[in-house]
Amino acid sequence: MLGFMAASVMVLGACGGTDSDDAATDDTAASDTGSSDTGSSDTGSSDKPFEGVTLKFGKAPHGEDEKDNWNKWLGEFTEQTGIKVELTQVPWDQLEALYTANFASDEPYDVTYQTSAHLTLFGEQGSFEDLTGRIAGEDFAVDRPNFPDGVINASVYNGKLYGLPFVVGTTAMFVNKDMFTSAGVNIPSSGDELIKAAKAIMKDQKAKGNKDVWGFYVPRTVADYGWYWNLSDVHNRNGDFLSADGKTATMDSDAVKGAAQYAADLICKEKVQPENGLYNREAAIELFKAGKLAMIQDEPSRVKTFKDEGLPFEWDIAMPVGYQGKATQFATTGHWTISAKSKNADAAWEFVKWLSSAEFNSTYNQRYGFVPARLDADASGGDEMLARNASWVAVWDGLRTSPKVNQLLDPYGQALEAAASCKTSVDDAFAKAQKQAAEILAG
Amino acid sequence: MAEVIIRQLTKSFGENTVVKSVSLKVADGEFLVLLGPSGCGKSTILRLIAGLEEATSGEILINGKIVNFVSPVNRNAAFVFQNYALYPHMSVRKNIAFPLATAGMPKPAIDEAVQDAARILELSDLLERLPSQLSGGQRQRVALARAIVRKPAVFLMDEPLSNLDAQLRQQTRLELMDLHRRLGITTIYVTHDQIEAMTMGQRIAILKDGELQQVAPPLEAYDQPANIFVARFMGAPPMNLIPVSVSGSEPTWSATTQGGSIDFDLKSVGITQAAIGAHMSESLQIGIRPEHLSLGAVGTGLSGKVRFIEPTGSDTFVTVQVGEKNVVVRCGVNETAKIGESVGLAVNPAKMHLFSADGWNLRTK
Amino acid sequence: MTTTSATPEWAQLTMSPDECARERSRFRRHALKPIIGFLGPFLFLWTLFLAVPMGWATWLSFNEGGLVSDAKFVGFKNWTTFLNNDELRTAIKNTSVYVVVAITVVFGLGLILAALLNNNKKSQNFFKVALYFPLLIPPIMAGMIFFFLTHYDMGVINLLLQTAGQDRVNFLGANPNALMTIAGLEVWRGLGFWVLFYLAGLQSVPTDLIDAGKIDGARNTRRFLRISLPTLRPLMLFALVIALIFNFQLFDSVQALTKGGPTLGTTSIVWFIYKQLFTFQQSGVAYATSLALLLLVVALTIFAYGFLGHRKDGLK
Ligand SMILES: Nc1ncnc2c1ncn2[C@@H]1O[C@H](COP(=O)(O)OP(=O)(O)O)[C@@H](O)[C@H]1O
Ligand SMILES: [Mg+2]
Repeated sequence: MLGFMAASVMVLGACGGTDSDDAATDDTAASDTGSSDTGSSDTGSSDKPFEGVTLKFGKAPHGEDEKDNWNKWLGEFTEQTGIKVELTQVPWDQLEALYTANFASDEPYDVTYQTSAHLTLFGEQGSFEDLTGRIAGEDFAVDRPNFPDGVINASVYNGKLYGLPFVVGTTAMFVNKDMFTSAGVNIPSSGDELIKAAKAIMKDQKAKGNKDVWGFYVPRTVADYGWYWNLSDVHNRNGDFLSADGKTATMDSDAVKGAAQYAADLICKEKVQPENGLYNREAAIELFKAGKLAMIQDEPSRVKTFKDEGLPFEWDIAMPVGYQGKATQFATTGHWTISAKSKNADAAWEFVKWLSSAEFNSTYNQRYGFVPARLDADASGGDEMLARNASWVAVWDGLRTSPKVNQLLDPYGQALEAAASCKTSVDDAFAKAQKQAAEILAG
Repeated sequence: MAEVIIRQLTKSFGENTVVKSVSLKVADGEFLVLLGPSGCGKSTILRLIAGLEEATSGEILINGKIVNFVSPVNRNAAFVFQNYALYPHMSVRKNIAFPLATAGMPKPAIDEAVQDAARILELSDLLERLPSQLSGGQRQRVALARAIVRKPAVFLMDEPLSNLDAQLRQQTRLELMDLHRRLGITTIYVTHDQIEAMTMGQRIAILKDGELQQVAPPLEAYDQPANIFVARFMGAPPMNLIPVSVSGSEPTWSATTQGGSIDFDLKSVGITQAAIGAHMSESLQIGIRPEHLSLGAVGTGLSGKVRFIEPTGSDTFVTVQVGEKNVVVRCGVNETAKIGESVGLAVNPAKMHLFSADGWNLRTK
Repeated sequence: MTTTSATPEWAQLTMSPDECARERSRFRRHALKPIIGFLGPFLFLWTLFLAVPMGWATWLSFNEGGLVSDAKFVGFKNWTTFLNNDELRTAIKNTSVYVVVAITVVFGLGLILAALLNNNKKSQNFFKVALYFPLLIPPIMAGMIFFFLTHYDMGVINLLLQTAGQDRVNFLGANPNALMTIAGLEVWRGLGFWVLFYLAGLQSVPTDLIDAGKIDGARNTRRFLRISLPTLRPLMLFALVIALIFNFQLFDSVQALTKGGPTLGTTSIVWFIYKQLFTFQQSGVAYATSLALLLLVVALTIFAYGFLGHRKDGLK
């Protein structure tokens, strides 16, 4: 909180300078307020340089209760700063269309939440302000050390930081502990162990008359973003689908193909996961909740939901299995962006700093279960499972960034789905993906 | 060939009873005209006979068989609609052939039957045309051809001429009568046009508000109308009605109007002594057709003032005000009366009708 | 001009031919005024909402960017890209299959139900509402209903199939099931509209024609096929064109349920365009494809009118 206060004072010094680009009508009013506030800020009587400013804020929701929560949170922010914030909830499945229209307009959202894939996509088209200068500023000096360089750098493209990291995702493997106990097996930590455990459980359950029990589930379809759940295994195998400079596709690398082969084997050869497409992500969650699935990989936001619902069996989360001793976490990063066309960029930065503060970060993630991008936030709220989940960020490895990343992930996801559907060989599927990716990068 | 009998036929649509206990007997080969103003239930009766509506009560017999619960096609009655109801997407040939094709008749037989019907109705050159490419009269003939092609026992025609212009109507009327003469099919013909009824019908059934008023050969209906409704509906201009009070006793009676009185004897007006005795005290009316009146000098018969003079070429109709009533007189074309002139009206008492207060003719047939 | 001696003085023309022509054109201009008055706003709106965006789209199909970022002219690159795209070829195939299946089924069922309702005046209102109901359900609720109907283990349909001793159905996870499921869903949603449409059509068939059919011995089915249906032909042609235009834009349920999968099995043309335009921000390719789709639909419309509408049967 002290850091926040100090930062607020410091932004005032810069206020007159940066505001000079703004529309002439706002200009005088803003600098007037700015100078008078600077004078009185030492006395602490008034510390609201952006009093009366209204920001437009776009965000896709992480839960159905988010809107209500934001009403509360934004009320607190307005009370502290005098800045009003109008929230627009952008549905995930229309996100690209709505943001495209919004960013093409003259008055886009001042602040938005963007995941890795979209950050560079829109950033490279000039939609977002480069925050490199802002986070190097004096007003951020206290906070900056709390953001690991690895997390910040993963979001930099072409030397530009289009958004300030807020959360990094993780995936957790939810396990039905009753089933493990019953079969007398341990929670697996490698791919081979997973297959053995799954088979043992399926056999045990069948013997006990519980038919139609599956060992494992993770989405492998394009519809459920198969690539998202599969990339950690690619990273475990020391590879990626794209070279570090973002210029060369490596879809036919051993790491990519090895991970895909393992994914396909679970379904086609070992038969511990249901035929691809039989259950989509939500349908499989229903299976897990009904006690018909031993292990399912999903987002940690389910922890709170499952606890609230009270599943009728013992369960836990575990780190998704690794490969040859290496286990990494993959997920995209969530960022706060400031629009390049924003007429209230400084107030927006004020809001972004508040959003990424340790305090708000803790509040938000104690509800939605993501891992904070800063080290001094506590998202567990004392919950042991969430604390364990947060600790996995140490082995986090994010998404290679490129404005063409969405285009590249499409053939990748298609190839994975084709291989997991047991009709196409991994080699054929990824040779095709590699060819398509090369065309995309060349075009 | 068939006789059609309907017994106490009643039809209601919800609360609204539009045919009220109508009984009628149409002889085999007869041409019967169902006459009445628009909305009186003529079409409904025809549709009941055809089986397009279900009777609320009563019986319909065709050829001695009760057909209330027989489907339209099995009643063997052909229907000719006012607007012809030709299938617009079918050629004339297909239209005529449709009932036969539906009945599953073999193709050569259909062709022959279509040729026959087309020849009778002079449609042979038009067989490949679509209905939209025909004139009204031609469409009418196609509808007739479609009706005769399956050799029905009964023809039901619902105002088939009303969509034709006056000249064509008269011509088609003659053709229809000729057709009936040649084929001899029992025909029930609906119209609201009393000229059509008079010229075409062997008998006329006159209908009002769903109730049958009189069934009689045309001239009988004209000369001896059963009631005021029939009297006024048949003939143009309609029969004159004048309120009268009747007095006297055998053998001389007189009917007194505001314009004078008419003496008559019961025999010549066909009324029994009992009938006149029963109705004498009512407010009666005399009815007299324009052609049974003649103009004369003041002092003859009734007296009045000339109001209008309408020459039609063949006749001249003179309207005379008698008391408060206008009375139309049919005169020769050389009539010299002037408007405003006072005239006398000679009445032929033998042609006079006397109507009771509830409208019935006191004349006994 | 010479006049015959029979034309009297007072019947001579007074206007010279020039004068007459001038007056005629003035008169016609005047008569045109109200028409221009009516057409003007329409032309303005047409320009604003159709011609301008179309022109813009055409221009952007020769550019990269142009929506969020600045446009950069690239010639025919987008057109060659999309013409060589395998996924688009699959999308065209899928969409065509879908259009044929969905239109055939929805028209078939729609007509049959409309015919049944037309003969059954009493239950008409109930069925009208029941059939229209799917259109009134909010999409979220429709999604939930669908989820609990089609779940492989716990879905109502599969439970019923199992009880009946039948194999369970994988509705969305296999091909061609997924496309057929989506077709089924769209048919379910659209059926009410088409039933009402055809019911209105059937009720406009002159009753005399139907009565004539009864007199001529045609029973229900034959009357429907030989009399009502041909009478409805112009209406059906119009319906077909509307349905073609509408169904070629298959998108909503693809986005909501399958994201084009499994293995591109439900990728539709508009889903392809959407991905290019928004997910990939390849607006040039998207616009090129959209224009091609527009041309395709226009061609189909012309074909439909030319091929099916070409018969002089007096039903104008
Ligand atoms: N299907 C029907 N439903 C309700 N009322 C009807 C129906 N058909 C006829 N009517 C009514 O019955 C009366 C007689 O009609 P109709 O037989 O057609 O008369 P007409 O042929 O003598 O002109 C009219 O008042 C008409 O409104
Ligand atoms: Mg009628």
